[in-house]
Amino acid sequence: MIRVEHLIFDYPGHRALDDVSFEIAPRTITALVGPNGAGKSTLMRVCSGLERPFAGRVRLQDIDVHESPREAHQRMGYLPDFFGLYDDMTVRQCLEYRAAAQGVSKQNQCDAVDRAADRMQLTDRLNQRAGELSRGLRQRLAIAQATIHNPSFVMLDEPASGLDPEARIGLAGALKTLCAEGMTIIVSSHILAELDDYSTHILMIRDGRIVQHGPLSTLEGRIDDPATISIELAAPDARLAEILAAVPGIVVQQVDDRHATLSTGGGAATRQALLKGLVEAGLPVIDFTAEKLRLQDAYLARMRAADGEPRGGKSG
Amino acid sequence: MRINPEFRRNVWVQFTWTRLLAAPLLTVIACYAFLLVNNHDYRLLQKVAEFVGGSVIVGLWGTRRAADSLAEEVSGGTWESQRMSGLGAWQMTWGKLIGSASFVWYCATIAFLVVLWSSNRIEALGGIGRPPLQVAFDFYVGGLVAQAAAFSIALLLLRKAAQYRRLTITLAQTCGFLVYFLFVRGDFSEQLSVRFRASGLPSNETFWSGGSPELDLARGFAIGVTCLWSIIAAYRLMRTELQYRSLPWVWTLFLVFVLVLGISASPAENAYGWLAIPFLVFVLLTYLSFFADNRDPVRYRWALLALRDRNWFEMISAIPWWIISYVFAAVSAVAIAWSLADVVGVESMREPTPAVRMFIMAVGHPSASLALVMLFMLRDLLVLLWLSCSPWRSKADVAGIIYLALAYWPLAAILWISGLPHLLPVVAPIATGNIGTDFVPIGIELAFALFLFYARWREITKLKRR
Repeated sequence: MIRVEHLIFDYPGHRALDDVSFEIAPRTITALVGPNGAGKSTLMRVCSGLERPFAGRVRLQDIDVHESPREAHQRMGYLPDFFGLYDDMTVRQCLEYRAAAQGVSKQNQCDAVDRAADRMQLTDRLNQRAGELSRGLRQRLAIAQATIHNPSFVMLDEPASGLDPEARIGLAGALKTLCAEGMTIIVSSHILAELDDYSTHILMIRDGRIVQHGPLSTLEGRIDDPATISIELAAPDARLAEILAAVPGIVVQQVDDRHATLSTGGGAATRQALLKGLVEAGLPVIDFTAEKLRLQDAYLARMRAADGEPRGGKSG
Repeated sequence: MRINPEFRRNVWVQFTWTRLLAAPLLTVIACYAFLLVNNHDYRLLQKVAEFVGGSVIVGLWGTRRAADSLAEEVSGGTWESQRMSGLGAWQMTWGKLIGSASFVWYCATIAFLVVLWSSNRIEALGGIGRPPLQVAFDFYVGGLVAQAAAFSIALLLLRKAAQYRRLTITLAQTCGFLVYFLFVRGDFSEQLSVRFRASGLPSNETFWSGGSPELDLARGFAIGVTCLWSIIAAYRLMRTELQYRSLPWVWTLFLVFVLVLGISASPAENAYGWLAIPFLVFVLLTYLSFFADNRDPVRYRWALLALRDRNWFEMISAIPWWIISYVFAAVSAVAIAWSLADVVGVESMREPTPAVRMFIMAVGHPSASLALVMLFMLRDLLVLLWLSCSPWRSKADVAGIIYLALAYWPLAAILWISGLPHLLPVVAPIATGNIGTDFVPIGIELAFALFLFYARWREITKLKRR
């Protein structure tokens, strides 16, 4: 879908992107994460053709974004972190304008407007002025504008910033809808918990270099190995600690007659053996939960690990 | 027909039913009241309508709208989305230029109709009204010149100082209005002719033909050509803004146009006379284009690397305009020096001022003085580049203007008044005829400026990661 090759971008006195290369698979949602100043927004701006790199190139479906920016823009959508709307125009006018500006033919403009409004649940707001919309609705309108021409590739820079929880859930649903319709999406965000809900891939960037890129499951699996398991019994049973101590491959972190928390490095087989042992011993197990490592923790662990790594990072 | 989306958007925003109806209604009421209090003086009404329609609506308000059309996008956060749209540079340029001032044009048309109506009334009463074509030309072509100039300057300034919206649009508006005032309202050519005669310097009656029958044609031609160049400038700047990479051939063509215009306008019969005005314009354009450039060290480094790799397209597309202007100035200087006799006789002046006497001294050794001009320019450019690469590069323009304001005349005046004219080449491009005192000081200054710039350049291109 989009291929970034050896991208270098300099600001006077420092290098913001340092030999960045990656390829995004079609119909995926990639979470672009990294600390402040890592180069996330710069990467998006360069990929969108708003900034010209010092070296390297960005190709969107065989179109060089910097050689043919207009053609590339007709196939991509971008929502910057600080976006604006035409407050004096109605939602319909905003969408009609964007459709026309993106080259949607006059015959198809009405359909495009209706579809974009429907997708972002703005149909009942079409005659309302953009300036009168709430923050969440403004965000949805901005995404509707960025995607009205059905681009194959969409970049959203911090789309959830400043949204309330309800609006964030709505945004996650909207992104899933776009992906289901065939769009490839990159989302940059600091709110990692929410990225967990809808991302399929992760692109970690630090100091202008890729730290990790690949499916989210790969990242979780790699760091998930020492999974944390919590156990709860229906009634206290003094044998719990004794039985757990006999199971190989686990480390008991905390245990009493009714609850236990332990970590296991043995994966699914160990967990299966452990549960079987507990049930066969006649313990009244009512909860056996393998706690999935949160993206936030995985991210922090990976970033800490990256401190000691040579250049280049990992790519999945 | 597919309407330019940017133009249509502007029309949506600009035209409301209230505004559409209020403008003619208020005009009719104002005109009626005006005629009542002025005893039905249609000639006065015509003058006032022409002034309001031209200078106020088109010249002042229109230039403000043209400049603000970009500034409000930048400050409103919509400019990035526009840059990401599928609109090309030309669509974006005319959509904004005409669209943002569409209501202004509507009001100007109402004023134009008032001028026509009053002319009609004057002629009905036996007088001579204003030719409608001339008024229309002044309003529409003159207005377009001013607005395109304001738009171009806003594009230039917003690249450098987007955070100072009011200042940039006011500056762009002022420049646009000055263009309108000078070319359309001010009879620029006649004023120049009068000033040349008053100064005692020769003036050319055929070209600066104040009052001649060809004046209207010449004026129309001047406005038309300025209009064309203003629109081309706006378009090319928009291309740059939209990340199109292009070779600087339009700027080069503009410099050639200046050269041809200067040569054809000159009354002189020899090369140095033909080239004198273009040379001065090239010097001025070098400084102006330097300040207009965003002087991005990364882009310069890119150009140097492209040069090293013999990637000519990359190199030429990244070459700054001020270098091209400097080359034109240098070539003109060489051509002038080649054609000059060593000493040029200058007509005696009535009580020449010290500044005029310095000028006479400089033209006494014209070739050396021209060489000094080029070397002083080079020194200035290096100092200004050093400022642009410094940690306070955001204030480099202001610092550069202060430097240029203080670098020449105060020290030259002090040396002159102190009776040390032979030291003038240290501070100003005025040759005294002594090669040592003429070129050694500027050589040292150049070397020092080069050292400063190179040290800063090394520092800024030594990349640090965050």
